[in-house]
Amino acid sequence: MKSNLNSLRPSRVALAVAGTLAVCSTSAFAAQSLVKGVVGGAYFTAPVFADTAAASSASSSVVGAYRGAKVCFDLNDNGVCDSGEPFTTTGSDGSFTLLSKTLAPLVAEISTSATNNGHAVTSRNVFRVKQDQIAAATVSPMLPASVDITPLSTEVARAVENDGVNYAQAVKNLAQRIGVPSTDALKAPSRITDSTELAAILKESVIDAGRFEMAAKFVDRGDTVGALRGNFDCPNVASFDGANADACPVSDLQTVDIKAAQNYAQNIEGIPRYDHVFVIIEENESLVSLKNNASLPYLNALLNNGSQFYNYYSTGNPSEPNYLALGSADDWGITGDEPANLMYPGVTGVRANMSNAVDAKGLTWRHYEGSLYPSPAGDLSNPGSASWKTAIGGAFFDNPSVSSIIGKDGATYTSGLVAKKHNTVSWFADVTAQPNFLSNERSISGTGTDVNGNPIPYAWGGTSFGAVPVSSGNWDAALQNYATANNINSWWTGNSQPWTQDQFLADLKAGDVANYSIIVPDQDDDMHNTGTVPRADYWANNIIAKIQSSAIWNDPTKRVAIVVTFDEGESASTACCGWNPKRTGNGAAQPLAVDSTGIVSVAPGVSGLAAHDGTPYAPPYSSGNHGHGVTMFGVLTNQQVLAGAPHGHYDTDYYSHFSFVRTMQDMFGLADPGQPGTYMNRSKYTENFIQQNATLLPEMASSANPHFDAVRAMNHVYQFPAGVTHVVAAGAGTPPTTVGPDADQVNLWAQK
Amino acid sequence: MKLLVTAAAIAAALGASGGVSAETFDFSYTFTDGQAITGSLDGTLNGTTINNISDLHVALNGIDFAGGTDSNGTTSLQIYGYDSANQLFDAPAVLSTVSSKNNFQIADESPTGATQANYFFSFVNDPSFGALIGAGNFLHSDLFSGPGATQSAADFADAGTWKVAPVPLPGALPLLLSGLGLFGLRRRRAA
Repeated sequence: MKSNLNSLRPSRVALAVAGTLAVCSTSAFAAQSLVKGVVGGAYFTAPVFADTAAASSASSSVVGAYRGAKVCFDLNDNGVCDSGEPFTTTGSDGSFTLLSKTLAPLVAEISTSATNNGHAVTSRNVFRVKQDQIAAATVSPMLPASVDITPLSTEVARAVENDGVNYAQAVKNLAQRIGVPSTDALKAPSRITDSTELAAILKESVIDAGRFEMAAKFVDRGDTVGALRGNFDCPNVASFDGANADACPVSDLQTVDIKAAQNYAQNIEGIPRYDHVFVIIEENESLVSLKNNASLPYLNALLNNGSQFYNYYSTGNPSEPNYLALGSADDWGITGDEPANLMYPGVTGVRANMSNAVDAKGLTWRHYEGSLYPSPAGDLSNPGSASWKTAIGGAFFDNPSVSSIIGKDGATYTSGLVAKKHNTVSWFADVTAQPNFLSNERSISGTGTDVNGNPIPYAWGGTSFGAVPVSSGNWDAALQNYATANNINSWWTGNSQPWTQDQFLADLKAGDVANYSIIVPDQDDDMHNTGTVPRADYWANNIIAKIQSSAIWNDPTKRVAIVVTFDEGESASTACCGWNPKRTGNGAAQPLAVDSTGIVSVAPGVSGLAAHDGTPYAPPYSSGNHGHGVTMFGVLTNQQVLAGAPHGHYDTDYYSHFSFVRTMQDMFGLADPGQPGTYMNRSKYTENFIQQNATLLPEMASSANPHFDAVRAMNHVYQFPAGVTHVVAAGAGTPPTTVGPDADQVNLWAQK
Repeated sequence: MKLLVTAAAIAAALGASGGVSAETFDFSYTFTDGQAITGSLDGTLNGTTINNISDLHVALNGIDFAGGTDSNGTTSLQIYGYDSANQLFDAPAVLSTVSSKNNFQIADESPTGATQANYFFSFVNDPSFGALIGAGNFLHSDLFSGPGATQSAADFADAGTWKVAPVPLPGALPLLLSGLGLFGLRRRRAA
């Protein structure tokens, strides 16, 4: 009781706050405020990843309400409930009523003593409400205003403070971006009755709450600005990279408050959150063979109209290790793509990979593959069995149960165009065992019309490659005809709907687009097969045109990017950025793993049964991740096309497939920049991480060029010191800058 | 003389117990979360509306407005009405036995004045936003929630419980009964 009485006395801090307000913000006293609302959001149940379907489960989201959250009027607008600020505690349904003589923003501090939907909150979070939101809901100061404090209200507050928009525009943008009315966007999910709206708000709530939870950690740990914006020369890596170290500005050594942290959490390592990213992966061309090649007008237009990374390295050779790297930031020791090396379905053990990482945060992914063979979903409960092999055979095997298909036109079309080695997803048993796996593996066609039915120019005049007619897209049509003639339904609809050879176009039309889509053409459309280079350019243009005709692309409130890159650059093993430069041969090249307590250890290598013959298989890990040449990495965003965002910029820093995976983890909020171990596999190999774990990384020891050998997000933060000559690998051509800083240090992902 | 005294007593009793004269009403509103406003006022009931309101007393969760002060001195509770057109509390108040007719705010400062209220109870029905009911007490920190916490309650619909009833004055009934008794005794003796 004594302590309660003491706590009732105004503290010196409170008096100081009140005094400051009285002097600096007299207008803030103009109106008192009575608010009633809910601290709400979503309660997210993470998926369970396992190597068997029986042990796996999908994620789910339900309406959440935070009990025991501290709600206050944030009189000094610092994002914290300070002593002396009017506050209350939420009830069992998350509700609160709060009164203040001063109209001010609201803050909800959700500690680990609070509960969400009856479940313990495991990590502190902070939600906020702008004062404008209260004002908009207020009829009169002494009549109650309905104001909910949610992840979405917090995102609006962040946008107003950082994105150059006012409150009304921020709400409108958010509502449009997620597809709900502006009047409902900031309501707690418990007050949403429309099921479609509720699903959209719950998804956004999960995403935002996850990022703002990370922001609270940034503050609680005292993370520096340098770490949060991805400057790996800060704070302590100068000794690792003395020769190339950039100056570490004092600002990068500062810590952040919660408001700044929430903005960093939506722009992790400088990579802004995107709504949709399409990654088109082509085959086997170095940058020098692509850049300014007159046979590739569309890809070069993308480079020129968008943004280009000039020193983007592949991480292995041949294809398979690169696709593994693109899917998981490690090739797991796979150094070939012969059938005996195919890991699926026997490799056991949960492997960090992009598909599961995306799922784990309530986001969605899809893998679109060209020339998929029509086949229904079969029995997937027994991986490796005959029934499994006939099920969705087109997704997994070069030659499924049929070697050729006769279309309705009577022509015979050979198979063999779909290559499992060109797949970033299906290697991982804990991905294919997920309930959503079948629905995420879908077809795509590089011919046909755009979303609005307009024909897309396809001027390639060739007639055939390897007996595959191409002039008018007959191959896709033949596959569709085959499916129709044989009444084949699609596995991604659970065999409930007729097979569609271009499900990608159907998805774009329906607005049913995943956050992260990998697009893999067949081997005639990806430059793999001899003589198909111009054809692949048309194919890519067709896919890009379809995307650009979609509603999601043409919505300026969304951030959408199209990436075109290649698996490898057809050059010598001179790759960078997390590779295995010494080929230690002692089995010590497995990626390092960091457990929840921060202990770093060498992850076990992969082992299992080869897919085709069932024999035990253990890849020679120490030879993996040995790197390969420079290839194309171009990005075109809808902000550049719709909103006139800067374009034509370039970045000559060294990046690789591992950097790309790190960048995607940043973009989708899948890892915590303050905890390097949360980045998957070799994508965690920043200069800082390598320095701190040098004894466990013999393949990185005594690096001649630590900056070259380390991974970083593709954020253009690093500025080459004046006079420093860049590494320019064979196949790179002539980058516009080879000595010293680039023409500018524009972050190519952040243009808006 | 005895007749005169008796008549006066009867008149007094009638005056105190009803008729067109001001009387005292108890009122209460229980919010949907269980918090409660209780109070009393003097006024005259005209149909379902109480007019000529004075002598306001209000308690939020049992804690009375015990009087406050501002730059003009001691404050007291007054009643105001909400003006939809101007969105100000500058209209005649309506306090009714029918909750859907209510349009009032009881506060210790004028809502249109420069000084903010320390204590208020608002019950407004408006065509544009429906019913809003709220109460606040800045003069009393919530001991449960701790320093800085203020007492407040709010409903966004007339979903609580509104009660208004006249209160017989203390002693009025005995006076009436005694008056009637005297009158009867007088008549019997006269007979």
